[in-house]
Amino acid sequence: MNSTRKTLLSLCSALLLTFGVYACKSSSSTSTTDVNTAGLNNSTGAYVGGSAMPGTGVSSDNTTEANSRVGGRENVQAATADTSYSGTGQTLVTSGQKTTTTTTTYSTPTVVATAPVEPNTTTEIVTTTPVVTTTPVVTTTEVTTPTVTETTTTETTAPMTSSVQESTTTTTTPTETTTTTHRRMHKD
Amino acid sequence: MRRSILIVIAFAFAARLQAITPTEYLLAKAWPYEPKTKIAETGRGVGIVFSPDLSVPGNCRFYQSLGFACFEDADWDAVLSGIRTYNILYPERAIRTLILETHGTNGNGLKLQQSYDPAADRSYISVGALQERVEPDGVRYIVISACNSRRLLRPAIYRALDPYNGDKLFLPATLGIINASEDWDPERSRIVVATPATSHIEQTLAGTLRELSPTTRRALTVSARALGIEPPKQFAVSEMFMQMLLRDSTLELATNESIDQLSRDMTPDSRGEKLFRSFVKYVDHLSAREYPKKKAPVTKRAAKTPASKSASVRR
Repeated sequence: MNSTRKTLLSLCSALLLTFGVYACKSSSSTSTTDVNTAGLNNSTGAYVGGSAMPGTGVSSDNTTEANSRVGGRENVQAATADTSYSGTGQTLVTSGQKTTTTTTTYSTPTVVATAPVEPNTTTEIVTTTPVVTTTPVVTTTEVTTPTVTETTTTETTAPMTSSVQESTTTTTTPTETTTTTHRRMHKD
Repeated sequence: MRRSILIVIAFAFAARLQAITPTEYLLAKAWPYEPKTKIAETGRGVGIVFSPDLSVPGNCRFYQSLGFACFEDADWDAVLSGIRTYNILYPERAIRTLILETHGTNGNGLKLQQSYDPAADRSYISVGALQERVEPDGVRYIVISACNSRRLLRPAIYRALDPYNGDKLFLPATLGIINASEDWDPERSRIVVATPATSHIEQTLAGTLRELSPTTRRALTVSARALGIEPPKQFAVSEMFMQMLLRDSTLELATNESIDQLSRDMTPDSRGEKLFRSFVKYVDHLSAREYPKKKAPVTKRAAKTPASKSASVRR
């Protein structure tokens, strides 16, 4: 009975060992396919390099193929450090067999002089006509009236169909400046 | 141990009482604030009296839609009869507080008039007479929103007005003057008369319903139809009324305190406009709470969002 138990235990341990070794191997082989794309130093924005930066235009699938051999050197030419762009960004890390190409565009903020928006010719224009009340002020005191600028917002949303793209036009047209005052009655 | 607990409780109460101003206390009693009040119940238990020349057509319908009892007449007798009838007919919403949107005639008498034409319908009443007449009807608070209202409480005219005061604004009383009876004792009256602490010329603003949100307009229409009246189109609202409704911290009320000095001070127009905006906002808030907007189904939104995003990308 005891011997049977010992045999079973040893069998199990042997099986575990076998599987363990296999698992280690498979994980190491997977890790070799990792593409450690070089990125930017987050603080400085300078290119800090990395192992085997894929060349421009080379798809990630090709890179994976080149690195498929265990312990093999990468078969691609290392890209020269690109220090032409500046700014901060997150280091892009892709792993696994399926890699996605992410394009990060760094743009410096530029001052764009905006042209005045011309009123859009839309089919349906909703115009709110503010009530302008002219008040005969009977007082001699200084009158301070708040100025309210009213804007009309026209929003036309085309119905979404399979062939028609949804188009949303928002036009903000300043119509007129009105002074809101109310007729007053004095209790004397 | 017990004594120290009592002292702590006493201090806590004292601190709370100190935080409440006399005006807040008075308003809390005269016009209790109901946090979850409906728009049609805003003026429950409050009556408002308008001088016709300080009103706009259909003004009372606006206040009635808000739950107030509203009276507009140049004859004080008609107004007093109206208050009595209202409290008999609607005991569940009887008037306990009366707000007077009337003239003060420079503190010489509460005046209701059709216009400034000397021959127009016009009547006067003394504060004492008003107390005497409305007390049996159940009224307990009178808030006078009239010019120089504290002068109306002068002992010389408290019971009986002086028709020969020499004031140009004291135009002919074509519909009479109501004075308190000889045997009426003001000391025995349970009515609290409140006036603005500072005497000045009060103002009323005229607004239209178009200035209110569509939800408020709808709520007022529903309320008016329930009362069997035509929905209002415009309204007149005084600065003091707005201050009371909004519990404005700048409002200071005094009770049963007279003053002799006549004031010509007038509040700046900007103050009235600011109050009006707050008033509209408050009423809109009440209606929005009562009639919340229905949310669009989630499934439709989820379907629409990516499409609109892609459309913007394509552009």
